[in-house]
Amino acid sequence: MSAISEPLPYYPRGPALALAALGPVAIGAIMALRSETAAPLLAVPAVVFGVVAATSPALYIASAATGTAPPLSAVVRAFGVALGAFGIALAGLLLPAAFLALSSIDTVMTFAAASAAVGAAAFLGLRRLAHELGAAGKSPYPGAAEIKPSLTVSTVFFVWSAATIGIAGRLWWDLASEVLS
Amino acid sequence: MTLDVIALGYAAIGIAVAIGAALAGRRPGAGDVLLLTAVWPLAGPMILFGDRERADDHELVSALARASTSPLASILPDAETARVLGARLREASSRLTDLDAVLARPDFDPAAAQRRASELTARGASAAAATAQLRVRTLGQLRDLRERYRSELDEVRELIAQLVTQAELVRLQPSIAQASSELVRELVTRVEGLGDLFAYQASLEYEPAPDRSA
Amino acid sequence: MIGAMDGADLRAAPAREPRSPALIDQLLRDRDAIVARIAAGKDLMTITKTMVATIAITMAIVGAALGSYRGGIQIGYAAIKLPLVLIGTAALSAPALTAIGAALGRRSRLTADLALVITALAYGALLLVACTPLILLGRAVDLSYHQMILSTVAMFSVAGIASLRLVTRALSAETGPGRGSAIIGLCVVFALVGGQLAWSLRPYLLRPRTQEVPFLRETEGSLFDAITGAVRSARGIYTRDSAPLGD
Repeated sequence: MSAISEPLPYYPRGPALALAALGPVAIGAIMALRSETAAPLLAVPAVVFGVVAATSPALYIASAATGTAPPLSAVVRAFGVALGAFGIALAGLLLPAAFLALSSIDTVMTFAAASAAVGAAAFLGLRRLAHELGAAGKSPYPGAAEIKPSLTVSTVFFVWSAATIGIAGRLWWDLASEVLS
Repeated sequence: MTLDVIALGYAAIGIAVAIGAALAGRRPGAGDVLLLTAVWPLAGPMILFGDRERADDHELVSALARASTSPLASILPDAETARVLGARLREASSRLTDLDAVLARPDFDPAAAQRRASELTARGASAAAATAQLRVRTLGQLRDLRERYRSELDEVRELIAQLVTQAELVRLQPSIAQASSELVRELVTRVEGLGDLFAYQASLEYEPAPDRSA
Repeated sequence: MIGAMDGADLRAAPAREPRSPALIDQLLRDRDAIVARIAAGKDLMTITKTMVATIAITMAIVGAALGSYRGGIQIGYAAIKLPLVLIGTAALSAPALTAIGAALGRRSRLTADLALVITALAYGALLLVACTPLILLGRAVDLSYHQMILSTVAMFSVAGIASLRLVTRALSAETGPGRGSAIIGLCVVFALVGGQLAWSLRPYLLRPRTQEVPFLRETEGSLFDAITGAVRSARGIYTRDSAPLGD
């Protein structure tokens, strides 16, 4: 009975994904308040989700090409769980980030607080993604062999993570430079 | 942004949460409104979600931790065993929650499945009727499994409550500590016995599908 | 008599909410019991209200004691500001414990975690109020301003470590992932927010010879601006010709 054996992510997925959608908007609102422009309200979510949407197929393709990919449905589910984790983490870090960003005079502090919140949430989301993909690899298909952790699996994930973080970081820096200068 | 503007914004959100709680039927009192204005990140979830969140899975480890400071300490399982037992109890609670959620779904109603099987039999669709009957049997097994989990967890919780009470009694009368060893042994055996339920559930999940080649 | 006993008489009386003084006493004497109560999800709202009130009253006393080093209106100012610092920091930081843990797979319960954090802080506040005689002793024996500062930091450190121990002990009863990262995350967030809020609401401890006593200092920047400024000054990079003369 797959409905019973399906592992729970320990949080309701719907609200978590809603938080993932609204969290970057809230961060954008904080930056918009400091910069007195509305651009960050759209720009921050665009950077976050745009980068994930653009790079996530690459992870599946690279994993599948190296024979280390769980089924596509499991990868999609893992990304959903990781996005939910990102949303929940960002929701908990939003208040501290808002206070630190808005209570300081220097816009550098605003940038630092917003970056720290989004960066920490993204890091936690990546950690969760790695865990979920690993768990999915334990029972990829009925009757299929387990996809064991290996240097190839780790390398693919690490390279993909580094590229994603690098792209997102550069776009984030450009956004902050334009908005908070 | 100055501190007073931030404080005003913070208080305004608190008042908005209080209004939201009132609209949601929670009816916060004057003290609750003050609390919400001052500490809405703390009080808001309390008022909105209430005390509904419970964690029966922590009860065992907490009860053993409390009893370990009483004269019962010498007959209690060690910390690592307590963790393992606590994890087993949590797993059982989680599986009971899963079963409740699954059996609450309309498509998992045994009566509806039985009606469907009867309809298929009446229409002469014997292969489909056999599958439907298998479904009825499986749903019945799931309900039995749920009742077994519920019954076992109720007994474990009563034993935990008795352990906490016994620990307080033993503080007043340390001489009866050894006589409580049977209670501890019963509790540990019950929690360990949850493993048999897990094995039974696993056997249900991996039952082979019926042979439809005929 | 037997006939008068019907089912209504045999129903167990409903459990009464615990009283606040009993909760505070239990926090001091039997922290395991409070932690078990929170873990079981019992009376969380009552516990939260009691602990917030405890922090407000105890930190007001500690603030008054610190303010008495200078005396006068500073007693009242510090008594108002210190509770705001701790309660404000708790309100802004506590959700991070649940959020970080849940992201990593910890089976988190928001209301219980919030109650745990505020209870731990209330315990630290109670330890601090037990230290107020030492603060007053410092004034009585004319400890220097910097010695007073260091003593205060030491007392707050002890209280902070005690609070952290309570949280760690409560979470050690759990199994599964995310506990350690959640605690570390909470500590980092708490330190950052608490530092900035305390900086924003300063001063608390003033030199006795201070003439003008402001409720809040002029906002010259954040705590981190002050730290970067101090680092620059230490490297010989200054933004003004000279520092203002002391009081």
